[in-house]
Formats: sequence, C-alpha cells, structure tokens
Amino acid sequence: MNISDYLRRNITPPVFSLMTVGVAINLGMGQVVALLKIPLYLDSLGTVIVAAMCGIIPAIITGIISNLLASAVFSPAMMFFIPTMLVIALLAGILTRKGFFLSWWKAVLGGVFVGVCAAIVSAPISAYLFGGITLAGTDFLVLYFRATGQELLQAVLYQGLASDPIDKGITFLLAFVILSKMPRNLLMRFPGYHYLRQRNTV
Amino acid sequence: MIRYLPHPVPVFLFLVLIIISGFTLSIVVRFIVSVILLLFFTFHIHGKKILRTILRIVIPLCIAIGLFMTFIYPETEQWLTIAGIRLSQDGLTAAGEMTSRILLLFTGIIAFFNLITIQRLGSYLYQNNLPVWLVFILINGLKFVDRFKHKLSEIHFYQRLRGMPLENIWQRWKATVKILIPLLYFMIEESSNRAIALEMRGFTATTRRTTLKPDRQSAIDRIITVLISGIILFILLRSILS
Amino acid sequence: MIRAVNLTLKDESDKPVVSNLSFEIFKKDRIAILGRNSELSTLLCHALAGILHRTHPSYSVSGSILYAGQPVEEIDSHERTNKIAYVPPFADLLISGVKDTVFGEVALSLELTGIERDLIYERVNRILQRFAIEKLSNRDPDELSGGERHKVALAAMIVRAPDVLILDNPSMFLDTAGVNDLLSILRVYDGTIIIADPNPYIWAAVAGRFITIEKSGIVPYDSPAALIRALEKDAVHFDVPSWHELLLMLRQPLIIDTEVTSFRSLFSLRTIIRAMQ
Repeated sequence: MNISDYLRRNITPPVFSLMTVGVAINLGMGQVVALLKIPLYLDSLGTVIVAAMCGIIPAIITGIISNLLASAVFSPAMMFFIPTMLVIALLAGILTRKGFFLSWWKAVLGGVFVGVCAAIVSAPISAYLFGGITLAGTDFLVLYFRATGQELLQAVLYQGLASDPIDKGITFLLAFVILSKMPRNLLMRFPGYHYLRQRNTV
Repeated sequence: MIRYLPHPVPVFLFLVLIIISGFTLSIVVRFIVSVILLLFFTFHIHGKKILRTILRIVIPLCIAIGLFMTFIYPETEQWLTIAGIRLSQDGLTAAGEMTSRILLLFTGIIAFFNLITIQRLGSYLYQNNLPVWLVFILINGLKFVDRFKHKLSEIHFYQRLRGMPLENIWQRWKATVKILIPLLYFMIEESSNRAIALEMRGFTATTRRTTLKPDRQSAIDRIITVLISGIILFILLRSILS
Repeated sequence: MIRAVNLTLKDESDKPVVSNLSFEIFKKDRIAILGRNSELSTLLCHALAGILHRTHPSYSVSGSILYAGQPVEEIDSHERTNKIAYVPPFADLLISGVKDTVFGEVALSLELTGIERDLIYERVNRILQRFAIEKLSNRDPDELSGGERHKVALAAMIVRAPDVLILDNPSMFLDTAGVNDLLSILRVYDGTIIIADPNPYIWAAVAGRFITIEKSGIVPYDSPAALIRALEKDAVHFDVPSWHELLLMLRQPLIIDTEVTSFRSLFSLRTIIRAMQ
C-alpha cells in the first residue's frame, strides 16, 4: 500500500474538518487562557487532539498552519517555533499508538515527557533568537538563572523544563478528558478510534 | 502615498530574502535595511497597520532583550561604566545582534501578512492546485476561531443571565470547563457534518481545476520577482562557491 | 432507478433500527419520506446519499441501496458529485467559506471538476437568476442574512445539475418565507427529489409519492375504508389535521410495511370517495 493510498484512506473529510477545529483550538486557547487568567499556554491542545484522533501527518499540518496563522495574528515569533510544534505533533501521535490515551495518568505522563522534549527543542531557538525573552511571564525564571551564573542556553533550558512539562501535562490531561467523554459515534468517524478506546468498553 | 498592492509571489520572495539577510548580514546593515523598510511602509497605504503592529510587538521585545542582555551577562570580561552604571560590553554586542535580527525579521513577517491577506494567499494556493482541503483549513481555521470565541462569550452571557456565580476565578474556571467540552463536541460534529456535505460538492476531486479569475502578476510584480530572485540566487551561489 | 433491497440497519448494540426495507424510486420522481421520528428519516437520507458509513460508522448495514444496479458506496466520488446532491438540515453547512464572493462560492463545485470557464459563467449566472440572487453575486457569503445564505447554499449544490436531490429536514431551520422560497425552487427543479420532512407544507406541495417508515408492524390495508379509518384514528403514521389528509389522498400514497418485503399502493381519491359512499 503506497503512500497515496494511505493518505486517501486515512485523511478523510472528517479528518480535514478536525484539522480546522484543531487550528481553531490552538489559536483560541490563548484567548480562553487569558480570560481565565491561567499562567499556561495550552496552545498545542488542538495539535494533540488531532494527533490522537487522526494521526501524525494531520497533526503536523495542523501545527504548521496554526503557527503560521498565529504569527499573522499574534506575534511573528510563533513562526520560529514550528520545530517545537512538529516535535509535539510527532510525539503525541506516537504516544497515541502506544496507548497513552487510555488512562488519565498515562496521558499526564506522556504530556510531561512531551513537555521535556519540547523544552529541549525550543531552548536553542529561544536562546539564539530571543535571548530567552518572550514577554510571556516566564522570563523572570531566565533572569534568575542568568543572575546565578548560568550560560544563556542553560538558563533558557531550565526555564523551559520548569514550565513546559506542566503545560504539556495539563494539555494532555485535557485532551484525555475530551477524548474519553466523546460520544462513540462521533469518535468513530476518525481513524484514530482504535487507539483511543479499549475493545470491550462502549 | 504608495498604492502598490503586491501579488503573493514577490512578497513571498521578499520574505525569503529578509529571512536570509536576517541571518547573514551584519548588525549595522540590518538596522539600516530595517529603517529603509520602515520608511517605505510609512508612505505605503497599508503602512500604518504594519507600523502599529511593529510598535506593539517588536519594540517592547527589543527593549526587554536589550536591558536583559546589557545588565545580566555573567560571562563577560569587560565592563563599561557609564554614569556610574556597570554595563556589559559583550552583552551590548549580543543585544545588538538579537535586536537587529528581530527587527528585520519581524518587519518582514508582519509586512508579509499585512500585504497579502490570508484570503488572497488561500486563493493563490487554490489556483495552483493545492488540495482544496488545505485551502479550506487555512481560511476557515481563522473563521472558526471567531465563532469559537463568539459562542463562548454567548454562553457566558446566558450563564450569567441564569444567575450562575462567576465572580472569582475558580468559579469561572469550573463554569468554562463544564461548557468547553460539550462546545468542542458540538463544533467537531458540526464541522465533520460540513466536511461530509462538502465532499458531495466535489472537494475530494482530483481532476484539474478551472479558475475563473486567476491572480496574475502585474508588471511591477514581475520586475520585483525577477530582481529578488536574482539577489537570492546571487547570495546562494556566493555561499556555495566560497 | 434507485432501489433499496432488504436494507437493514443495526446500531452499535445490534438493535435493528430499520429492518428489511425495500422500495423503488423512479426517475424524476417526487417522493417524501415521512416518519414519526426524524432520526429515522435522516438515517434513510444518509443511506440514500451513500454517506452512512461516514455519519454513522458504528451502524452495521446489510442489504443495499442500488443506483441503476450499482451499490451506492461503490459509485466513484466524481460521478457521485454529478449524480447525487445531499442537502443537510442546516444548509449553511454547504457553504465552504473558501471563496469571498457568492459567485465564486457557487462556481466552486464546477471549478473543482474542471468544467470550462464559459460554461461555468453561463451556468452560475443562470442559477443565480433562477434563485433571484444575482444582486448578491459579488458579496461575501459571511455577510449575508440567514435566508440569503440558505439560497446560496442550495444554489451551490444545484448548480451541478445532479440527477437526485435529497433534502434532509429542510424546514427545520427555515421560517415560512424560507419555506416558500424553497418550494418555488423545487417546483422548477428537473430531476428526482427526495424530501424527508414531517412538515406538511413541504411535502404536500412537492411530493407525488410517499414512503413512511415504521419500525413496528403495520396493519395492512386491504380496503380504502380501512386506511381512512386508520388515518382518522391517527393510530399509525402522522399527526395531521384533516385537510392535509385530503391533500394526501389527492396523490397516491405509497405505504411500506417494513416487516414485509413487498409494498402496496393504495387508491386514488376518486376510488376512496366512492368507497366511502
């Protein structure tokens, strides 16, 4: 089965619509978070949901389009963090196949792991381009680490490791809650169904 | 007032050139190029929006980076003392690097997204036979965000009308989460119904597309495209040969 | 032309939702699907449009729906766009939002299948005229009112001139003015129309034959008198006031007993009235 058949069989119209909703969730969660004054980003919730329900390639496309639109609407800085988004999409897809969305604690664990990876990938980008400053509220951590004598890359990495695992852990938990309560008929429209429900539950 | 509204292709090439220059030119040249661009946009018909966005986003970031780098830079050897305040020389250099790069790159990106709207970008990709679905996601992604926010504020309104307590953060959070999930299901179901209906309109067709009003480059567009392509090729050749 | 052969739908807990349904729809037929439950009629519409495996993937289907002998799921998707048009209850869903003018939106389906430019212009203009929305031709579909959007959605679907038009509960989201507009469009539509709608205003004006779906057994009608008695008792099919019953009898009601694979047609008004006397 070559790649074109695989794409055509798995990227069905419901998948495309979910990608659109995923982009909307990615962009919209920023507003929700501001409304509720939570000190997190939650800007990859859409990508994670698409990865779980549709697979890696749709999640990657969702992530790229979300970052492009975010750099148009919010800040051009988002465009440079596409690698982070790709890593999140890839890992979320792989973790779904290993069944990490079948129980809440596995989901959180998976999220923390993805958060660590995301921090590792985004640290060089953030350090080289922005010196660790994102004006998003976590900058004081970088300042602290720098003031205690760490090199810039180290400081940014530690800041990332302090905030990203929590953020992604909560993102994965939210994704788990959303996926576990979804009506079966709705979930079955998407190809990732097999990895999200155990055989004997309804 | 310059009234030139560019075609997607020259603007895209312009962005590529900016990104290349952002990483290759020296600090001073970057600043000079940025200033030239900003001057150009001052006289452009859409320039005000671009300048305002730059002011809102780029300037605070650059100032923060500048302050941060200058005053907290542990591995420095040389210190300047100006008016009794200790500044780091290396820090200043690093700050200058980053600030000039950010200014140039962000100006390019902000200009790109303001000179071609997402709608025009989408229709250009469409006429070049990009799968309709990708164009659909691009254009409707933004529209869905608006609807999402709208629905959420509508629901908040009705909840408050019902007398639900929404004073402190904890209550607001619980109320929003309770309604967020059914809202998501509704959005997912409605959009998948839309996708299924659109499939019947031919969205999965693989035949060649006819376009009613193709977006063609004007004369100025073509000149700029050739110019910028030439510069990019020159830079690439130079870096390959050296 | 369209034939349902022993169609049985079972939901995820294996409970039969529709069992052994068989009927035939001819070319240029105007048929209304009436059912007490709009869920059932929506299911049947999805099955007829060939999208049941997408909208209700957990349902198991046996038997089939055949279009000129070909099972509906096997119709090539390109051909299907030319043959079948499915209009969901909320017709707005048909508007793709990809184009920023009404003209572009309506022309989108034709563009996607590579029809020549002049032909596209001609057909789109013709259909915009027929729907009386040429003045909206250059406006953004997002800025239109609900009724105008509905017309644009229908235009976008019908511009392909499909053979079969399936309307799923069209009056659910329409006011009376919208219903009237819809009826005036349907009257001049040339092709098979299948409407699933409990609203008598729609099917009484358009349909010539009826399919009613019931899950439980139906008392078969051997005589017109029995039918009239049953209708009067309102024991079986739908709650309609009596002048609608008359309208119903003016056409030829086709009642299908889902427990039995054959179908019976009943008698014209003249015969009925004669029998009543």
